Amino acid sequence: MEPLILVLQFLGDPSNLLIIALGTLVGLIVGALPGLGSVILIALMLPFVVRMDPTTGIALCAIVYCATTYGGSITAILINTPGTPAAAMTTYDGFPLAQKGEAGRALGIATFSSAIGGVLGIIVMIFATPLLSRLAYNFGPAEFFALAVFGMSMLASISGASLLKNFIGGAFGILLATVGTDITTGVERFTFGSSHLYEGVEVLQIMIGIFAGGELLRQATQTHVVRELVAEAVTKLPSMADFRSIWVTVLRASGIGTFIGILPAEGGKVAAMIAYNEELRWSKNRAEFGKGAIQGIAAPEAANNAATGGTMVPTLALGIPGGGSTAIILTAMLILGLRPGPQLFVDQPDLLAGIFGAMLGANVCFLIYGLIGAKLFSRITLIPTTILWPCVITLACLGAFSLQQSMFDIGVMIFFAVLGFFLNRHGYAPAPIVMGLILGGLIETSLKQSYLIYDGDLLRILQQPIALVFLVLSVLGICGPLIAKALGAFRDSQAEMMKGNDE
Amino acid sequence: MSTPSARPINRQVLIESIVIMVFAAAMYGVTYTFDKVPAILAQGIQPTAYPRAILAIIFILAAIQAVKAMRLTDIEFAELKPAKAVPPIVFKTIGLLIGFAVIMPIVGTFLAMAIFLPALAMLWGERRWLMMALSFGGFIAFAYGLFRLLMHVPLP
Repeated sequence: MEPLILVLQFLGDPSNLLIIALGTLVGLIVGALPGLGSVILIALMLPFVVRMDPTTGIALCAIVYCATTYGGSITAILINTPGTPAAAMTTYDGFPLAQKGEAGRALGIATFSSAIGGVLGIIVMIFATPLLSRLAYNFGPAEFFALAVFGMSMLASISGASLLKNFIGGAFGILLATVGTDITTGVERFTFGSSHLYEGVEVLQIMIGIFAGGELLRQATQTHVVRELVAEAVTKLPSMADFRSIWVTVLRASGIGTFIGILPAEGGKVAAMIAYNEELRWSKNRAEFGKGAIQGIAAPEAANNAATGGTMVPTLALGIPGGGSTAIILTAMLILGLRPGPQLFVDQPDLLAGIFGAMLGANVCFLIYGLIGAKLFSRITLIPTTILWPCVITLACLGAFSLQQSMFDIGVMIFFAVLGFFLNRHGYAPAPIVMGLILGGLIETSLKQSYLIYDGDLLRILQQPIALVFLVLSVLGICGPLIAKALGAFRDSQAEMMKGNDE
Repeated sequence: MSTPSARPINRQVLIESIVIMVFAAAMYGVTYTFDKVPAILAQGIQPTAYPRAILAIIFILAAIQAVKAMRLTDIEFAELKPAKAVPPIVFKTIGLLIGFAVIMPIVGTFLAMAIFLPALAMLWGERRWLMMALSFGGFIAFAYGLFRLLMHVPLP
């Protein structure tokens, strides 16, 4: 009961409510702008967040994370352009329903499903995070090593076209984490004599560069795109008939979203895709999907918002980011001197109550904003990229500079912006690189510690039951897509053979 | 008599893989320049061991990718989309971004912003002067308030 009381205390403070109201507003506006999303917004906010009181700063990140996830659905429905990647599946049925003249109904279904999914995900987060962190009390270096490897193995299924490219990106991120002075021996690695690199490359500048800078260069190729609103709609709450036909969908999708969110490296986009496909599989009116089925809007929206709570679970309990946005939140926590894990629950109960309360408040807040302000938020979409993006990239440069007052940091940011753009263009998504960058240090440290503990016999890691479970899951995570592909090819060849025999 | 046609190749991925392999090999070479430490200080693992292992993994993954690129099935080859050239506007944008970073310490942050913001907007095709003046003027004032007055960042 104590965590709930702390959450209520956080929500009872008027200044916190103001932060929730403002943070949600900013998150909704940014979520409604195609190209910008929670990852870029939190990356841009980091230079400010690290100067704030830790609870307020991290809570603010959590608020905008929830709000941008919902905000992406507004543009997905009204202009057929998802504001965030997590809202991509919402376009399939949201836009067709808006084209039929029922944009208000589509927005209402999306708002309602998002809020319910988000709240359910957070309730699971409130109860699952302390439980998972208690498990972490039994973790030693071997378990942390296996856990980090498991996190990297999940790259097999995240964004990007190719499994191999995801792993190469992840390994490149791990390599970047080795730049700087080795903490065990004091030997410089990949510093090339530059004093700026003695302490390693700044994760923050890389993130700002790779996400915000990379997106700027992508936007440069899209300046000709003209966005038009299909409808100016006022959100309508779902009718009783609509409610009856989507409540099972919302519950099922929320469960899927929360579970997918808890898996390291997965996120709202994957959750929405799986929830949509599952809904399609279970639905009695499959023919309606893609033509404006309300279940086709409810499922991805409930799932991607439920995933926001889910992704926070491994981030807070184990220090393994659940997705791109949580990777940046984790970085902010580390900069603020907060180490995720079981001790956080003992030392910082206020911080956790703040995060839980802020996310809960954000979900209620965007429900209200969504009901009264969807028309306004949809208009924000029409801000020209020629005005918006120069401002965004300048803010990114100033933010990168402000952390250490160093022009070198702006150089690093620009370098990774260019690198991120070209890597992304060739199918190397930025998320695996960031995952590798964050988990690289943990993998090296825990591996070295395991080496010392087991007298150089690293195979003894396999004798630790928890570590063994994670490593088996890692193998399954890597081989799963390959096995599925091989089975699919086998089935196709069998079908071809049968067809040939019939002929 | 027809000769058997050569197996289709995904040239783009093949070149990418070779570039990655060369990068991994070059970085592996760089690890030989790292200082060596006595075994007792290294605690059994030299500082080169971990980066070398990662570079070996990158090399192997890129090699697998290269082999896959050379062994395409006809269906995979048919599904290949021709690579589009990077539009010149991207390079011009990168140039402006670098230019902004260069002039910032010389002319000062806010004057650099006053040059960079409209330059980038114009490069991207914006010609609505009044809107640019109002938007960018307002943004520069916002940035001044945020970084100078609120956060006390000593911007150049």
